[in-house]
Amino acid sequence: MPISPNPDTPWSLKRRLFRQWLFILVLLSIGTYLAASAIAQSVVQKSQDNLLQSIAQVILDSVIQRNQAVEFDLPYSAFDVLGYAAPEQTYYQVRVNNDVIAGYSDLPIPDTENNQSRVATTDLYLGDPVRFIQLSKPLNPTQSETVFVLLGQTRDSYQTTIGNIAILAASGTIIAFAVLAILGFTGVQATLKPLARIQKNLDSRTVEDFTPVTANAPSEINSLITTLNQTLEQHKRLLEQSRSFIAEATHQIKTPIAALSMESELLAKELSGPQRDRAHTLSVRARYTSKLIHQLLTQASLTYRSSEHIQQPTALPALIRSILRTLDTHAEQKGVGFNFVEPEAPSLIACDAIALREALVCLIENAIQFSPPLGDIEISIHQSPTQLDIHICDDGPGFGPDPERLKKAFVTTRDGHEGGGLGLAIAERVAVQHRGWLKLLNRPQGGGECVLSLPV
Amino acid sequence: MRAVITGVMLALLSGPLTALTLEGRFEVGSGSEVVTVLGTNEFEAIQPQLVDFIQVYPNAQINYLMASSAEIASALGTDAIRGIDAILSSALDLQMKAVNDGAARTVRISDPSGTQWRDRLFQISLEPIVTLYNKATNPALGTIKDRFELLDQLRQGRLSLQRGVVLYDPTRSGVGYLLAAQDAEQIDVFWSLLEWFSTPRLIESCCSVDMIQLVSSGKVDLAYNILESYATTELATNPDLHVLAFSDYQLLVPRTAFVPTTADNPDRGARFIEYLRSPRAQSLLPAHMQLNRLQQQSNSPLKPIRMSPALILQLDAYQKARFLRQWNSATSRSGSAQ
Amino acid sequence: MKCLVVEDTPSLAQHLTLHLTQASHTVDLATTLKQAFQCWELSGPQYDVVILDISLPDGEGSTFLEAIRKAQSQVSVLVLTARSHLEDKVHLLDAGADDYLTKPFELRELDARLRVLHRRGLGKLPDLQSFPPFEYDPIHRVFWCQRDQVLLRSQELKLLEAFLQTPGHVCSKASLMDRLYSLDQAVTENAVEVHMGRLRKKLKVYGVEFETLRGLGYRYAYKP
Repeated sequence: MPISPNPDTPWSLKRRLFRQWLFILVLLSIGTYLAASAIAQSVVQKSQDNLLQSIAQVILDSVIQRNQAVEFDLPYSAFDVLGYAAPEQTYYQVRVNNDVIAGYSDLPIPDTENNQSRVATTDLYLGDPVRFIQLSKPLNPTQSETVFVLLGQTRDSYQTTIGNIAILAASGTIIAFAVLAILGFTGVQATLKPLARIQKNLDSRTVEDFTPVTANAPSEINSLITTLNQTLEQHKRLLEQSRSFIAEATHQIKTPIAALSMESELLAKELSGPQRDRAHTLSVRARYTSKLIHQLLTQASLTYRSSEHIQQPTALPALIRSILRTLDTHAEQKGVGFNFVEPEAPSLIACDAIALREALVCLIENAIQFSPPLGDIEISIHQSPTQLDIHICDDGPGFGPDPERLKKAFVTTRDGHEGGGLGLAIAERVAVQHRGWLKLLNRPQGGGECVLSLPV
Repeated sequence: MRAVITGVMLALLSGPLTALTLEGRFEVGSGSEVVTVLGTNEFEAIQPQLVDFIQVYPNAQINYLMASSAEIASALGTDAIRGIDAILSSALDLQMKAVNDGAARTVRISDPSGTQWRDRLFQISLEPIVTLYNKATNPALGTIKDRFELLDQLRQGRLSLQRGVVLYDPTRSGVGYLLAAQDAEQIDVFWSLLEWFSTPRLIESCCSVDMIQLVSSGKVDLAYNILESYATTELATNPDLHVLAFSDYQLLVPRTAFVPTTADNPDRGARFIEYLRSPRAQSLLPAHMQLNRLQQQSNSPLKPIRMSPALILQLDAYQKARFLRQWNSATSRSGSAQ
Repeated sequence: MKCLVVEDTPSLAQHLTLHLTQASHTVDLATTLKQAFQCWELSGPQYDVVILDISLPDGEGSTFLEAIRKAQSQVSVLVLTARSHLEDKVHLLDAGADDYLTKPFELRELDARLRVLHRRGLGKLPDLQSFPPFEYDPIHRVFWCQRDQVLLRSQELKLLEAFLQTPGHVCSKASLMDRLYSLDQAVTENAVEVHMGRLRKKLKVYGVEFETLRGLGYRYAYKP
């Protein structure tokens, strides 16, 4: 079962970046919008104020007192200019002190603190916000009377302008940020791509493939790859160490056991009665032990071989014939016959012939072991465009209710005579190394059937 | 004008709108969607468009109420205007002030390309302003090119207007005041011209029909600044009556419409205005009043009065009083009035 | 049979020699590579079989194997190995070994292998007993077809001999059962049928058939 590196909270770098960027983008856009609004507001407000003020000034300048009457001019052309600048509702008022002498009499009068000659306010008039500029000047030298010119204009088109500027600024920010985000994502993508390649490389490996990972990766990731390769190298070395230890150990053990086995066998010949049986048992045990050691060593050797990726074209029928010849005397002693159904096609397959030979030897030895006396072992090859199946059928007791369990090392339900318990595990391992599989079946008519499938 | 209103029409002048003094009330169509329109146009002038509107919108019914522009101006902001879905008027300054003072509602018109102000005031036709003269009594006027030349000729004595000149009385005619004020803004020589008009005899009249009659019958030499639409019949029938085409500029007064904020059915009012601006409705107008036709004459000296908040200044009591003082001093040489 | 045993482990060498001598073979023992070459110098052509251990104190057994094969010797070589390098087996067979045994092994297995090897190593004698399409060597109990031995298991050999020796080449099941009888194996009619079946299959390629005669048994028939 794959183990997640952080089982509590698995997270995606891209998703996290996306969330963070989105958050920043929203903040940034709102910020830009508000800032641009504020700036535009003040700029646009200023331009409107200037326009209103200049026209109010024209009116104010025209105010004169003649014969106790206040005279002034409301310049048509100046108001026309106001209309050209923006189609806004316009209000005006001319008053002396609090007496309105021209224009709208009900305009909201701005507070004039400290007798300021210029006051700018925004106030509601007829339900709409209106920008007012009030200018004033003393009507006569005594300053007893002051004339006020109040000019107001709605702000709809100015507000629209402000909104447009702010939106423009915000969209500029969004576009700039989007470009940056795309660049960022591309960067992340470029960083993650070699990682994905490395992952694919590692995923496609067999268990004991320790060849170094190569990837055209940025230097930031190269250190990771280096560490990974160091780890792989360490594992490989460890495996080789244990393999050579096993090899040495088994060799040191086997020869004395061989002597022990032979001696007990010879002893059995010389003895009689129960003692003879015990001597015989002794020799069988010795051989069993040796067989187990042999299988252990075989497995260790296979482990080593698998990292070498040996692939050589092999003619399966010739390989099987050679195996059968080797095992013939063994089978003959048990009275077991071979029935090799040779295929018409040459059944060439690219494989590690030595490993495959070992696997088939294990499977056929297994079949011989469990065949009844005079039983027949049928070996056949079935080829399809994508795979090649080697069937090995025997007349023995079959594999029981749970054949899969038998593939595990040291498991055997068939009351073993001299099997080491590793034969099926070895065959399975070879199959997997070739990206194939081993199937153990119980034949309907009784007996067991091993199918070793290899991809072509 | 008032004579056109029949007794039947007057009988209709009761109902919820009694606060308004109407000059006529007409119903066109019998659909369920009633549009109440208040206008200054004579019913006969607008009838083809009203009838055609019912063709386009068979479910509609138009209540056309006719009133003077002054009456409309005074009714704005009161209950008298309640229930009106669209107001049509050629008194541009009054319309402008009404809209500036918040009487109009913002409406969306599907074709906003034409002249409009703040999506509230919409131009629906243009009324050319012309100057008429009688060729039989004063053929020399036919050679005048522009106002400067007219003034020049008068100053040099090469031209005399012995029978007199007739103008709208700015104190009694709203459009007369508007036109005089615009002229005063347009040309510096307006007051001089007015003085020379006044030298032999200046008649200030309230009504277009009377003015046309005076020049057509040869009682005066010149009728200055007249709404052309009133003169079309007379121009067609009297071969002596001619238009003095000034090449410096020719004023045009836009007729405008808006939907009041108090409208019962603003959508229907807007639809009606939209219709009036459509090519279909424009084609029903007299040729000289069609917006497209006039606007296409790009090199002409046509000068439509712009929809501008400056117009409200002309309605300012102080400003108007000042203007009339100036008018009176210019015309005081003759002092004659009718 | 004259054997050369090359084995350095004293106990194993001793037991091997003992076992082979008991089976009335003549045995020369060499415990080093050097001794092995000396023995070969002395009486190389006389050996029927060489039993060769691969790991020797003074070198690899394969050196000896390669040397005698280079000298064109046809002697049968059975290699003994305690090592389990997978490549070794293939390598040894390539180097000219006829068979190999992984230590430890059953003596029974060794005997069987030697028997096969010895028989395979035999040359064809002149004037053999004709039994078309075969010729029979009664001394070594080997059937020949042209220049090749017919490789048969011992049970199958016994059955074929029975047909050869019976006039008319017709054998009953009972007589065949007698032939197959041995001390450690109970023989049933079924066993006869099984072995007959295997023999039939093996000889079919030579054009030999065994006709079943109801109630009588089998008749050997050669149809070229």
